[in-house]
Formats: sequence, C-alpha cells, structure tokens
Amino acid sequence: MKQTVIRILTLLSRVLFHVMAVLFGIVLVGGMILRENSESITPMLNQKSYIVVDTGDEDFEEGDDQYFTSDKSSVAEMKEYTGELIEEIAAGGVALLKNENNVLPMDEGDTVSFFSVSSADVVYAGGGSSGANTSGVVSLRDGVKAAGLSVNENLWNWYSSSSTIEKYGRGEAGNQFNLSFAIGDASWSEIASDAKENRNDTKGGVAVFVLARNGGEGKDISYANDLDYLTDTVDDKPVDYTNGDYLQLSAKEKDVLSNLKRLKEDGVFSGIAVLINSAYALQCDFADDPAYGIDSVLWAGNWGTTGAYAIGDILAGKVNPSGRITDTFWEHNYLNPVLANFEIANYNEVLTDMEKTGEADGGTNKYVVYQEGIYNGYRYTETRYEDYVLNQGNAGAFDYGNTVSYPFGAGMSYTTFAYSGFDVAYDDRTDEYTATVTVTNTGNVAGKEAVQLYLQKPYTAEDKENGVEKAAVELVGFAKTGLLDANGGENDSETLKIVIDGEQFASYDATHPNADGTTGTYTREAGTYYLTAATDAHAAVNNILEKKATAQQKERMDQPGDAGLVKGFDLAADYTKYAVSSVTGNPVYNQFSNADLNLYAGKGGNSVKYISRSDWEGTVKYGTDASGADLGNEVKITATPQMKSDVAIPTISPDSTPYPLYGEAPVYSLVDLRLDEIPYDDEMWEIFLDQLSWDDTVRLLSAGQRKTLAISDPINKPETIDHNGATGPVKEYNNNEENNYGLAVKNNDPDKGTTPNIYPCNGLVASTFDAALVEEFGKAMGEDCLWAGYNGLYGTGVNIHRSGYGGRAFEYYSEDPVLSGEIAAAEVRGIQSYGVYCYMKHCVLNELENNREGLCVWANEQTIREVYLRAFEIVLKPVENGGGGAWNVMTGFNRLGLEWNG
Amino acid sequence: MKDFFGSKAVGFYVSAAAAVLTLATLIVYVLYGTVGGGGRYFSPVALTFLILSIAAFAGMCIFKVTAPWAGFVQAAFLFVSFLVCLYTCYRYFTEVFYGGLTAQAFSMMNKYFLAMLILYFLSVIVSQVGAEMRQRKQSQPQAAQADGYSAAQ
Repeated sequence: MKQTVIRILTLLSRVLFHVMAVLFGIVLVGGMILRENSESITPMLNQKSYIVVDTGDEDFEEGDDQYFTSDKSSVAEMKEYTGELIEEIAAGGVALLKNENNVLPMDEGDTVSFFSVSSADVVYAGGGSSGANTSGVVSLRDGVKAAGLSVNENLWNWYSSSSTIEKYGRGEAGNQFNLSFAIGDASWSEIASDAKENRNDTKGGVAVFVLARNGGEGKDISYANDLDYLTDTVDDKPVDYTNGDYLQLSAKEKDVLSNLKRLKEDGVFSGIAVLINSAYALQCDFADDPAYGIDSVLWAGNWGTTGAYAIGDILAGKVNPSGRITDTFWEHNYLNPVLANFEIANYNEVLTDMEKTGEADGGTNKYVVYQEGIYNGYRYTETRYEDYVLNQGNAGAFDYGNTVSYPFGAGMSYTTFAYSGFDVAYDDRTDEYTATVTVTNTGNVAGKEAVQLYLQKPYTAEDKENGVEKAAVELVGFAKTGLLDANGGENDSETLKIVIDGEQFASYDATHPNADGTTGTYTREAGTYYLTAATDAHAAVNNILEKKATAQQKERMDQPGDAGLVKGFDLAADYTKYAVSSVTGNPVYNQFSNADLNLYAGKGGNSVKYISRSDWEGTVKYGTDASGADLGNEVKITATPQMKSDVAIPTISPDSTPYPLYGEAPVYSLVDLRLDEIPYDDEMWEIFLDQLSWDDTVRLLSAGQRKTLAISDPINKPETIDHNGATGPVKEYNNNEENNYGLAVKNNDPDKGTTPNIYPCNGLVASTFDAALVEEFGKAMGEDCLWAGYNGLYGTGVNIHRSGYGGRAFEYYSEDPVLSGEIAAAEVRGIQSYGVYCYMKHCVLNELENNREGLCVWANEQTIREVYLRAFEIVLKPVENGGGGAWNVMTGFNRLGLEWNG
Repeated sequence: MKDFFGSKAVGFYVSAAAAVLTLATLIVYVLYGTVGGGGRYFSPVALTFLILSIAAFAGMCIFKVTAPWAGFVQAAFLFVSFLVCLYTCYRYFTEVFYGGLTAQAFSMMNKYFLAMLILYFLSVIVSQVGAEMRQRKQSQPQAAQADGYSAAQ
C-alpha cells in the first residue's frame, strides 16, 4: 500500500513537473508577446495606458485645454443638428433622372405605394469600417408622411413585417467579411394580394419601387459570373443575378415592375417611380424599357439617418431636386471597357512564397492593369462620341444612346433654367480663367441649378506620337445657384462665377525630355482650347461640337448643343510653366515609371496596349459580351525574375543620408506649440521632434491603429483617438471611454452610449455640386467628432469610382477626380475647422477590394497623375492654394506596380 | 551494438522516436526558412536548439553515465526551441487569421509552416513522454543473492 502511494505520488510529481515546466515556458513567452503588444491590448481591456498628472500650472483656467468648442449642449442637440445637415445634403444631392407624364411631384395627400423589401429595409450605409448602426433612422414611410403625403399602409405593413424581411430581405449589411450580396425581394405572386392591388389602399397614387444594392469594405461586387466569393447561394438565398451581374435588375424585380405597369394601365396607379438606393451605379437599361413603363427615376444613393425627410419633400414637391449624378450610368454595363481589366488576375506563376501580408487571400501574387488609361467613365463615353461625330480615331459605329443611360452630371428639375451671358476672362498675372454665366429660372417652381464647367484640350499630332491621351471634355469647375424664384420672381436669376487655374490646361507627358535630364512633366500643347458651361458632360461635348463641327459632322450628333455657351482660346505651347509645382516650386518629372508595365525595367516580354483615342476599335476591349460570357480580354502578365525580386518588401540598409536626432535635451512640451499657428517647417518642430527617444518613435509608428499613443516626458503628448470612417464618425460617443476626451464623455451625457447619425454616402454629398453646403456639412461632422472624442477621422475617401463594382464606392465621391477633390476639399476644410485631422484615403490606386492586400496595380503615369492622384492633390493642397489643407493621408494596402504603397 | 541496444529501455526508443521527429522538424524548418518563404518568421536560434536537441540525445545516450539523462536534455532543448519558434512566428498567425479562424484562412497557410508546426508539436509531446521514461534497463540482482547462498560463500 505504502509503495503504491509512493509510486502514485512520484508519478504525480513528475507529471506536475512537466506541466509546470510547460506552463513556465508559456508564461515566459506569452509575457514577452503581451508586453510587445501592450499598446494594443490595453485599450481592448478598456484600461488606460497612462495617467494625467496635474503639475499645478497657476495660469491654467478652466477650459484652457478645450481648444475647440461646441455651441451644442448635448449629444441629442448635436444629433439634431447633424440630422438637419444630412437632410440638406439629401435634398441637394438626390438626382431626378427621368420624369414623364407629370408623375412627380405629387400633390399633398396623394398616396405613395412603396414596393420592394428594400423600401422597408433601406441600405443606409455600406459595410466594413464605415458600417453604421441603423437605430434611429427615419423610414421612407415617416419621411413621406412628414411631407404631407399618404402611404399605402397595408402594403407597407406587409413589406416591413419581420417575416417578410427575413424571408425576402437581403440580410444585414454587416461588417467586413460578412457582407450580404443577396438581392432577394419578393416576386409579384409572393406579395400579399390584398396589399398590392387594393384600389382603396393605392388610391390612384404613385407606385415607388425602391431599387437597392449593397456593398462595402473587403469585397467587390459581382460582375458577369465573377462568383469567386459566391456559390450558388448567398446567405442561404439563391443567387438571382441576371448574367451574374449584381448591378442589373433581378428576375423578381423585373417581375414586380412589369406588374406595376399593368396596374398603372388599369388605373390602379397614376405613375411608377423608381427610387435608386445604391451608391453603386446600376445598369439603367430598365429606365426606358417599355416593359416596365417607368415614369420617373430618382437616384438617392445611401441617404443617411434623416435623408428620408428630403426624399419625402422631393416626392411632394416641397423641395425641387437639384442633384447631379457623379458617375456615368451605363445602359449596358458590359459596354464599359474598364471591366475588361477590373477583376483580379493571377500572374502565370507566383512571384513569391512570402507570407500573406494581411488577410488570408492576400494579393501579392495577383494584379490588375488599368488598361483603360484615362478613359474611365465619361472620359471614355464622351470622347468616343465626339470622335464618332467627327469621324476620326477609328471610332467605329459607336452608339452613344445604347451605351449611356444617364451621362455624368445629369439631373433634372421640376422647373427649367436658361443659361446666358457665358464669358471667360483670363488673368495672366494669376494664370486664372474666370468663367461667368447667368442662370435664369424659366419655369414655374423655385429651384437650384448646378452649373458645370468643362474644358476641352486639343488632341494633337504630338500627343499621338508621345502617347498622351486627352478626353473630349474634363470637368474643371462647378458652382450652384441659390434658390431661384419661379420665373418672374424677384430673384429668378443669378450670375455664377467659376475660377480655374491655368494649370488645368496642361496634360502629363511621360515622354517629355526635361532640361535637367529627367523625363516627363506637365505640358500644354499649342491649339484651340474650349471652355463650356453645361448641364452635364454630354451637353458639354455637344456644345463644343456645335461650335466647331462642320454641318455634315453635326448630322451625327444625337442632340444639338449651344455654341453660345462655349469660349475658345488659341494658346501657344508651353513646356516649362507647368513643369514646376505651383505649390512647392519643385520640378515635376516621372515618379511612377515602375508602375507602367510598358516602362518597367523588368517587364520582359510584357506590354500593355492602353486605350487610345487614336484607335478606338483597335484598343477598346470589353470584359464580357451581352450575355455575360467572359471574353478573356484581361491583360496577361508573365512573371519575370526581376518581378520576383522587386515584389519583395525591401530591406532598408543604412546609407549616407543624415540620421534624425533622437533623445535630445527636453525643450518643449506639446502644449508649448499650441498657441499661434506655427508653420510645419518652423525650427520649433525640429527641436520638438528631436526630443523623442528612439523607443518612443518606434512605439508611435508601430502602434497607430485607431489612435496615436501617449508619450510622456519630455513632449507630454496625450493619447488620441483616430477612427472611422470615410463618410463620418461611426463609433459610439463613448468609444474607448478611458481615453476619450470628447464632450459626450466629459459631460457624462445620457446619450453617450449611442452612435452618431448615419451620414450619406460620399456620392450623394458630391452630387449636390455645392461646395459651400458641403463645407457646412463638414463643419457639422467635425463638431460631431468633438462630441465623440475623435481627434482624427479615417476619412474622407478620395479613390475614384473606376466602375460601379468597386466595393467601397460608397466611401468615394465620383468617377471624376476634380469633383471628388473639390468636394472632399470643402468637406475637409469644414471637418478640420474643429481640429479633427482627416486621413485622406486610400492613397493610391485602391479602387478594388478583392485581394487588396499587396495587390499589384499597373497604370501609366498620366493616368495616375491626372485621374487617380488628382483628387488627393486637390484635397491635400494648402487652403491658401485653393485646396482642402488635409493634414493626413492613409495609404492603400496595394502596390503601385510591384512597389508597396506604404 | 547488441549490448548497446540490449541495455536500453522503452524510454530510449520513445526518445529516439522523438529525435527522429525532431530531425524531420529540423529539415522542414530549414526548408521553410530557405525555399518556403519563411522570411522574418524563421529563427536561427530555434534551429540551433533543434540541432542541440538531436545532438544531445545522440551523444548522451552512448555513455552509461549520461544515458539516463539523454531523453530529459533532449526534451529540454526541444522545448526551448519550440518556445523560441513560437515567439518568432506568432505574428504570422495574426496575419493569416486576421479575418477569423476560417477554413479559407487555414487553406491559405504556408504549407511548410503548417508542417513544421505539426512536427514540432509531435516532437515535443513525444520527447516529454520519453523524458519521463527510463532510458536504460535496471541491472538484475545475482541469483546467489536471491537464494542467500553466495553471500555466505
């Protein structure tokens, strides 16, 4: 017995020894790992990583540490104010694209019958880091009733019931990696019969069909059988895309619309309106399809918490729509040549076996080529149209009407406007062109008008020789009137003034030899340049054609233009004025040759034939045919040994560059630099930064996700909260409460646990074409950040809508870089006026979500500079140079060519 | 050789199996660090302790004096190697599983890394078991002592 006990105890002690040894090892290594990551773990556990010590400054007065103040007294009041601005943005941004048979506006008391599950389950925001809490949103029903209209309650109750939404809805927008791409909805036979055809309920009112599409971070939208991320079902719902395209009407949607037409013909409805609830440009072949009999089309993007009030007002005619779409809406998506090279491709062999740089589906061994060059969106459609009219450039039988449903900048009104007195004056002292035009309301209803200024540069023989492409028109400026009275009223006209820089007349020539031996710069070729004021991009081209085309050529135009709204300038060539940055004074030369597959030294036998207006038929490729079948037109890249070498993240070796100083004697605390605006290149900053130790510098740089760290002596910098998102603050007002110095936490506001209002998608912000309104909107957002304790905002987003299929299109403004940049600049000026620094994102060429981590993006320098970096350039320029003055940039995950953005 | 193996207990063979597994781990680890894309997740220190683990076992099991401790020392070096390896490569897990523990993430893991990890686990476990087992057979008492006659003689 005794021996047995001894044996058992011995065994136990041995087992315990091993267990303790293993635990010791785990604790040892685990402790090291935890210490290394303490900066990230501490806030996750809602702990403070620092303490604030009152050093007893006698001069300190209460409020001294509040550098920016709010005139709101509570979260509730703040949200009420932002709600008003959101409504104003929606009111000014919703675009009326079609309106026949006087269906809209409706009369007071008229009944709206909302169709589609999306009418009750609106897409308020995209998914991912800008995903938002939908509690407190105003429904379409409430928005419409507030405007004095009635709602078909029976139908609404059916659609809004939880059983309907669960069965026919698309599922939640969710967070990153959990997006729902089901279209869902109920077919006509599935809708409760007593709700859909009851004349007592519909009262001969208007049927409003809500057409919604979702999207968000992490995944692109399915196009043409691109089902890499989908199977036969999505969220347990069968994939019901037409031709594999998420942005086309589904069979159920077509079914409902065709039945609505039948009921309209029977007098059950007076008209049919489609309300597009999508930040992604839908294929709009349905709009004029006689099978559906659609009278009106409104585009409203994602309209935010209170935008439904504006929609109600627009339907009721209390607000006259004045928005202009910021993308081309295609008649048939397959005719967009961008889509030939939109999807991710694999190199013929892997470039590297190196670890994934982020998500499991990293993009290191994948690529995309911007084969379309500058010809994205209207730059393609309008340019090829012009060349078709002028019968040049091998334009072929380009059918504009079958290609474009609604051009960039399109939008109607309940009234009409006339432009007159268009003139442009040039000031050679400032190299600025000032365009003026008088807008007169010629209709019966008050309204606002957004005037767009377009520029045409001559496409010369030198351009063709040097591979410089020029679009037929480019937006260079815009302005919006105030509310103009109905014709004959006291204020029925307004003269607008739009000032543009002469540097907009230059184009980037990557082959130009510079005097200092470098290559590539901005040049202005000799020729005739045209400026025109227009209602949209297509009207702009037609205006210019009206001025310069021959009578025979004009026969090929699809509508007449107004030559009186065009001013021509014969300019001489200039290869030096714009070869230097107007902001920094630094010479401009090629920086991105390695991102151009034709110029990259290690290209081997690879090359790209970019789309060129010198040969449309020879260079335009389509991704699929009309049936959705893949044409296999993507650029194929064969990996070369140098690519495999260049794709690796380089090891930084010491060189002769002078090393920054670290750990210098303490001189300044951060608080010493707060008074008076000290220029960024002032010596004080150098002295201040030199105080940082090496270790603190490493900590600051390596633990910067959603914050910057607190650094004690000698700089005494508090921890900051930097958070999402691109469309506005999304986190609770008391997020990271231990380190949150926002007003909601400071005042212990009873609503501090709530989230801010949902802000509209950036496309809707841009579609106002109203920089002044957007700046006010930005101020409201900045003040909201003050309440939420945001020091920095991960926004706004200024990547480009390269097509409607980019997952984060809802965070970006437009397919046009000038509109994107100017609107973003206005918004950022507003936000930063409250001391919130904006991280402009994602720099650069981050138009795709799939495999974004490490994805190799190939594009030529002219395209990068004139399209994809242009918006960043505008928003980052100092305010005194007409820019947004943004303080921060967030890089993209992707590569430029083979070189990582970071 | 017959005497050598004749004197070995079961623990020796378990530790020997651990040594073979350790050798396999070492080979895969070297492949991971050279052609397998190991990069910054490869630790020469971990590799060194792997070698020490095998060498210690091979060297110590030869001599009678050190043989009883061969398995233990082997297990100790191997465990240290494992800890160093974990410390070096834990960030790889955070990168691969950034989006969660999904089947897709598992399928995308570096195959060398996965194999190395599995072999490491097996080696550690087997070596720990072997360390606890007797490495040499115990000497048997003489027959005369058993019946009490030889002492008297």
